[in-house]
Amino acid sequence: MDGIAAEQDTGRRENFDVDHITHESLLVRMQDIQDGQAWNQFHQYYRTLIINFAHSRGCSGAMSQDVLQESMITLTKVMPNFRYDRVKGKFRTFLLTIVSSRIVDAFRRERKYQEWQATDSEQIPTGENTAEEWVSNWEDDWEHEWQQHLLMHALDRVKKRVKPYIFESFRMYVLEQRPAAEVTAALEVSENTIYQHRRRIVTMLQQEVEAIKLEIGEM
Amino acid sequence: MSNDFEQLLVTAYRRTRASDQLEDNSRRLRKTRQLLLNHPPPPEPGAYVLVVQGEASPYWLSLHNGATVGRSDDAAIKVTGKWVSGVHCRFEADGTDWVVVDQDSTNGLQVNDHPRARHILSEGDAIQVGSCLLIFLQVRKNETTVD
Repeated sequence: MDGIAAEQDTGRRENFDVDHITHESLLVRMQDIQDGQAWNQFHQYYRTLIINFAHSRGCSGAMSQDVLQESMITLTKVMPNFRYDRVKGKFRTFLLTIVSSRIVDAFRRERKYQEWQATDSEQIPTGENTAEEWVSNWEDDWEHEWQQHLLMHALDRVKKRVKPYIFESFRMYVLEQRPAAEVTAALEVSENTIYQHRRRIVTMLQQEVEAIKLEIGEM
Repeated sequence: MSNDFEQLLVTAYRRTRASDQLEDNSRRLRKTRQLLLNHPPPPEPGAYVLVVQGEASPYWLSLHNGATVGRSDDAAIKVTGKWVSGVHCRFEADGTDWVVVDQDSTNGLQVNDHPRARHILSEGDAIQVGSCLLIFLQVRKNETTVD
């Protein structure tokens, strides 16, 4: 196909090579405590998902970092005993349980910090519900977060498959939502070419999302 | 072409870019993980610090309320070095949480590479006192059991 080529990823996600292995094999490798590379890939893969979900629950940047740190420490402790079984349940449900618990912990600590700083006249926010009630309806939001996470994973894969200028036109026009005229001037391509790149990459993304779902046993 | 699909994509992209702006603590976490794997925590539930100091083999210390770190002979964790005060910092239990408090030390307390006067500990926090590194961990009942 014209314009399609294997390209090296040169961005921040340089080591984001989870797509070279299946998600299932990554989870299996995570159980090998000496396999540091698997853990690095796992951290890279789930960092954004966990941080974004913590943000969506109202965590600050520092709290989100704490949630990520504590979730990864918990996984370090738990993974040697984890047995991946597609039939029994999805890994993401298991992960939600860990992350939810850590978000509750982060808010408990945050409330203490506020209590330390508050004067007598200040109101300390208190939750009306228990932590269990609070997290009980998070599944739908986690599912939404998970879909976005898959999409970003698919985007990383597609980026590696197309020529840099094609991805750049998609990044500028679709992801950054810059005017077509600005993109044509910057990349010296026609407007029609930009639209073609957009169509092609969206199609590739949709295919990649389906492929990833198949890999992780969600289809 | 699905506008909903593109909208979801743009939202995900923006949020991912925002999270990428956060400090990347993966290197510190990787080091912590390796320490925990090489020196597994005790099985009994409780709060612990892994004490990593000089050439000595790292060891786990069960925390008790008021445990101190410093050059003093009375310190629960005795640390030598000119950057360390007699009583440098102290651990305090606060409900289910543990807090590390700087004891007016000359050179201050660092948690996760940031200066802190008083810090509620999260699992995996790295406390630096002079050349001594303390990794905080809590062991909970049945925590490593996976249903």
